[in-house]
Amino acid sequence: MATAPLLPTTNSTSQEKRHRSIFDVPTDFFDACRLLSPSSSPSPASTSVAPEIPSPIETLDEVDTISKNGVEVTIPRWTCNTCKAEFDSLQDQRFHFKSDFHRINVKLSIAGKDIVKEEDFDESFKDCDISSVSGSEDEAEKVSILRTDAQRGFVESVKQKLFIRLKTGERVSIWKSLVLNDSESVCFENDNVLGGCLRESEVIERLKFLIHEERNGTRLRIVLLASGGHFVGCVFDGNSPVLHKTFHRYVVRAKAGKKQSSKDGTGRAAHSAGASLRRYNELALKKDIQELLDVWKPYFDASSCIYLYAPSSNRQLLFDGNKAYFSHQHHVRNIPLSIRRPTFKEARRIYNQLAQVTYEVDEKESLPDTIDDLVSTTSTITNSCPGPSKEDLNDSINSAESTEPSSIKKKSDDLHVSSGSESEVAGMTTPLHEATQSGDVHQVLKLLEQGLDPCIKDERGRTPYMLANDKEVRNTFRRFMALNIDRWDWHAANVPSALTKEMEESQAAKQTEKEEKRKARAKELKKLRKAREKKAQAEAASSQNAAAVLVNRATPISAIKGQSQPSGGSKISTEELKRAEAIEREKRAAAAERRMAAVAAINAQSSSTSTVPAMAQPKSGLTSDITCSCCNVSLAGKVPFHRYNYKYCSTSCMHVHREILEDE
Amino acid sequence: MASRLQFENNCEVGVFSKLTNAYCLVAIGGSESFYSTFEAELADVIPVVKTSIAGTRIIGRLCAGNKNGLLVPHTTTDQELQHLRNSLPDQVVVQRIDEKLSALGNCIACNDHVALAHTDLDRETEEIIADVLGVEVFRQTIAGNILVGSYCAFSNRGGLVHPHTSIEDLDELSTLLQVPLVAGTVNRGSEVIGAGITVNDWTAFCGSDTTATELSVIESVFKLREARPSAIVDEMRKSLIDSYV
Repeated sequence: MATAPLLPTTNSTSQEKRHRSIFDVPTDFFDACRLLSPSSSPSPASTSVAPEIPSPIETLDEVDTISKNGVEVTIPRWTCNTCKAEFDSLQDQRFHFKSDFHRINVKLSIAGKDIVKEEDFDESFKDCDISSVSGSEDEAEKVSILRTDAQRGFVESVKQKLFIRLKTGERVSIWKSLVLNDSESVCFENDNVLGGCLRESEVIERLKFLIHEERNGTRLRIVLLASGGHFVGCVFDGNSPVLHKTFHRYVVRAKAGKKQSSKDGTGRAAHSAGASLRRYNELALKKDIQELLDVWKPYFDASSCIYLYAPSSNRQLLFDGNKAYFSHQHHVRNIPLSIRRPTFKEARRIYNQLAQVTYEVDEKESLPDTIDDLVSTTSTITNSCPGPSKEDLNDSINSAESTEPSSIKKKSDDLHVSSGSESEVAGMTTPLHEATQSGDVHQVLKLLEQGLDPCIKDERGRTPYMLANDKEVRNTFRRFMALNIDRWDWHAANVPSALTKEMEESQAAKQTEKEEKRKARAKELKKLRKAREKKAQAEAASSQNAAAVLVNRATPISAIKGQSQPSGGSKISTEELKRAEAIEREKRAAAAERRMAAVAAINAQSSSTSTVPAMAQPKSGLTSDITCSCCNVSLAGKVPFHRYNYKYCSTSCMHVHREILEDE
Repeated sequence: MASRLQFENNCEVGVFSKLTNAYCLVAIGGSESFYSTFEAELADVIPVVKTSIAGTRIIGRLCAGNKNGLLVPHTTTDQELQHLRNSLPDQVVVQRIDEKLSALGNCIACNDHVALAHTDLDRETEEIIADVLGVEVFRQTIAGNILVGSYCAFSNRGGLVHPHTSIEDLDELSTLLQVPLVAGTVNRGSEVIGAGITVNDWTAFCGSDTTATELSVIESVFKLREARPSAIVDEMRKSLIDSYV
């Protein structure tokens, strides 16, 4: 239980005590303090990375607006209807309309919310709402990277920091570059004293001098950041920015990356419009910066140090060879932090970080044995969850020691920290996240049973349930929810609904029912298909017989005309054939009768009119047309099927007749 | 005087053109009559430049500018940027800005001295607006509309804002901007002023749907009627006084 006492201590230290600007500490802060050698620095596991606390800097704007609003004179002309404020001059009004306070109120009123009072408009509000819009997405993305970076780069950062034990026994750390130039280093008693080293007493003397500094503009600090066509210069006096300026020029090749000059340096110079724009812009940016640095010369002269970030080729924006474009270049210090896109906001963030006094946890508590750590991990788990059995516990110890992947093992360290401080559960990837993402159902269930909080959100604000990409894993969560509905705030965990046994059963029943229905339907379809096939076969057979009859009959038809024809073919044997024959006969008889009647009619009318034959001809054609071309069944009263000039009683007749025609 | 015209049967001329005291941008590919209306009115005073921005014709909504400079969105191609640089007068600074809100014409309303800006515009963008256009930038809304560029149009002499702007807001805005403002409409009752009209200190172009009443309001608030006569009187007065004395 080595880490157990750690949690209350870190929690009890108030926010402002943990991290505060060096310019805000009381003047006796560094009295009777001792510098600690880096060998006694804490392990990375023990110190949480200093979170970005809201900057204690009040921008000049705010100070001014507040002080000006202190003396309010009621002249109705200069007003701000959004903020319900009145001003005594146009200048004041215009100043107000440029302020963040006004901007926030405009945003709030558009969103239909109440406006804030000037007094309530504090730092935290400012930081969360007025963040820069452009590029905010990539900035936000980088935050998480930076965090892990910071965790990884902790060992390096230890080298960059000074650790101090205060007279109260607390340990604090500050960045070396706050008091030391790049070339200087600190000697500790156990090191051999070399030239160019500062003694401990000298460093403390400097620190004391730092916090006793007067804020009268004689000890300025300047931050210069330049990269990717962005430049920001910012002059700070103590905590407050005195002056700042940003430039941005289009110099980086879109999509391809890198500056145009570095691309040109590779040999093949592009001649596109964009290339020439970028070349021009690089020169223009350099000129802008140099002009600015010239104008700022008095500030540089009054500065105590200059913090610089200009990686690789950006350095030539600020330096000509080894000579800088600004004075006081021997006070230049590099920034030991990772830096995002150079903006005014970023410059302020960097400066606040550099000026921060971080409270460290005690190293005795912070250097636990690894075995101890593991035991404490699992024991905290058992403490927090109500009822896992002893066996379970042993299981988890064993698994943690032997079989578990190292990532999970490492993460469970984070876990007990987060479960210890229940209040700040955001921004933490737990083993539950890992297990869910990997789709490991058993692990998920085990972790849930061990009492891991499914409401914890990771760095991107996702609960474990949201990470599940497998239905089974999601169902695991829902099943667990059904069993432990009151244990967690499942709504916060984003689990939509519980999955009880009955629900699952009913779902399964529904599924089987559906399946059965589907099967029955398939069967029926198959039957139908079979029947149809059978019918088709039968039809084909009958038509074949009919064809045979026709072929057999071909000669007798020509020989014996209009007479009933006895079944001549020796092959004919089946009943069907006979029936077909009979029908045929009847038809022929009917046709013959009609013909005779027609002839009689013609004979009867031939004397009276000459047009009759013409009339009769179509009539007879009509009568002959009205039978099926294949089987000669009368088509009277039917809708015939047509193919070329032929007419059929049915499609099968049509097919048969076509075959016959093709055979001929 | 204000002229009425339309772009390919569309009355939103403020969308397809951008008029300032130093230059006029006209969308490419419009009918020749649209272009020649601008030419006839402006050609001997300021350059009329045919261009596209980001390959589109809605240039009036994508860019913001005054006599000092022109801001174009990050979607503008290098070719377009170079064309603009080559076509505009030397003292006009053309700047492409990296801003998430790329319809700068909708987000920024400005004359040669002051600008109203969308509240979500980036801090750096605000700085660039101030530097390039040489203006003071205020974050404000027009009658509760956050798109200030769409719902108002103002020159150095006057301005027209969304018809629903309250009297108090109107007073506040006109003291803030130091120009007389009037709430009104264009294009037979359209409240998107910025889209319906494009205006500078001596002339205005509005959609052909604009009624005579709207036109007279526009001419009086932007002081377009007296623009030339007053100039003539100013010039003549000297000579008259000279001759008297």
